[in-house]
Amino acid sequence: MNDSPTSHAEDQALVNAVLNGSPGAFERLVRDYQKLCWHVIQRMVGHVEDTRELCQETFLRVHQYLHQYRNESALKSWIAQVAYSVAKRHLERKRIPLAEPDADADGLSPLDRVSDDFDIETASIDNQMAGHLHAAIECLPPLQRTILTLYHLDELPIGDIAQVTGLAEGTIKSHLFRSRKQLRDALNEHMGVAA
Amino acid sequence: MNPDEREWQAQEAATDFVRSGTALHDLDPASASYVALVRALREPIEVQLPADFARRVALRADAEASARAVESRLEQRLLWILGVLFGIAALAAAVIYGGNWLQPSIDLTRQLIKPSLLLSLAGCLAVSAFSQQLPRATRRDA
Repeated sequence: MNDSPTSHAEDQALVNAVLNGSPGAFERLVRDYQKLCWHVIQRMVGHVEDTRELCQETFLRVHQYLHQYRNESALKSWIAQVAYSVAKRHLERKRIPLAEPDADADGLSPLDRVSDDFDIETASIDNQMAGHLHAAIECLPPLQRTILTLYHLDELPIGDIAQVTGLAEGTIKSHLFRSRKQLRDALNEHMGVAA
Repeated sequence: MNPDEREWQAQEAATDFVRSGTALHDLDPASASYVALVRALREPIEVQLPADFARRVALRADAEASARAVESRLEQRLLWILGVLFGIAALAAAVIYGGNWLQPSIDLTRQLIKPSLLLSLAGCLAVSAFSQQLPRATRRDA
């Protein structure tokens, strides 16, 4: 994320400013990290209205517990961790599984689960491919979607994603590997059929 | 290198390729097969938050922090009042019933506090203190 502070010194300066009650400091923190927060929660929850409310809840928790932040990790990872736990609790309350125990239980790939409302007549092959890919990503379980987004879009290292989700680095790698392979294979199969 | 390891390397090569924007012909076919997917994964997600989201959240956070501070002060005052009331009650009980239990308590304490008992107590405290110091010393040496 280019619009976020990257060094721990900058993180600590911003945190100190908020804790000392500097005018506008917390507003700046929210502005810097609202995009990351949205990515995590939207990928987990997949519902715009709920995501808005949970983003607000996340930053209120960040404000309340910021004194507990230790400069050992990047502020970005710490805030992502808060967002992840808020979204996870929301899914648990709604009894939505975080990761399907057996993703292939129904024998369907993510692309097979995509509804066929995509207008193949008017779309170019590239657009068609991208459209189906995005729909397939949406069909992945919340945990896999979130890990893919944190790694590819927010460019968080695997170690940081492990810290955010509370999972082992090996588990994160395994989720990344299997999700990407599954999506690539499904896309190849789909495009082969389409061609 | 096993097939899964090769596949992982291909996925990572495609990721590096898309991040750095090097020429596609530098990629092997296995890595190239992941490029479209990695590009799709890197496409920005629309952030549907109101323009003044940060300002509104900051205002609400300030309001909630003020409310918590008031609540905390009230709790502290109530605790203080409770402590004073408890002290007064204890004093009153001592004045009213003190004669009944003070002398028997002193006698019982005298009976219990024997040199052997004190020695055992000192030994227990020493072992406890030593067992707490030992892990710290071990960590320092390590």
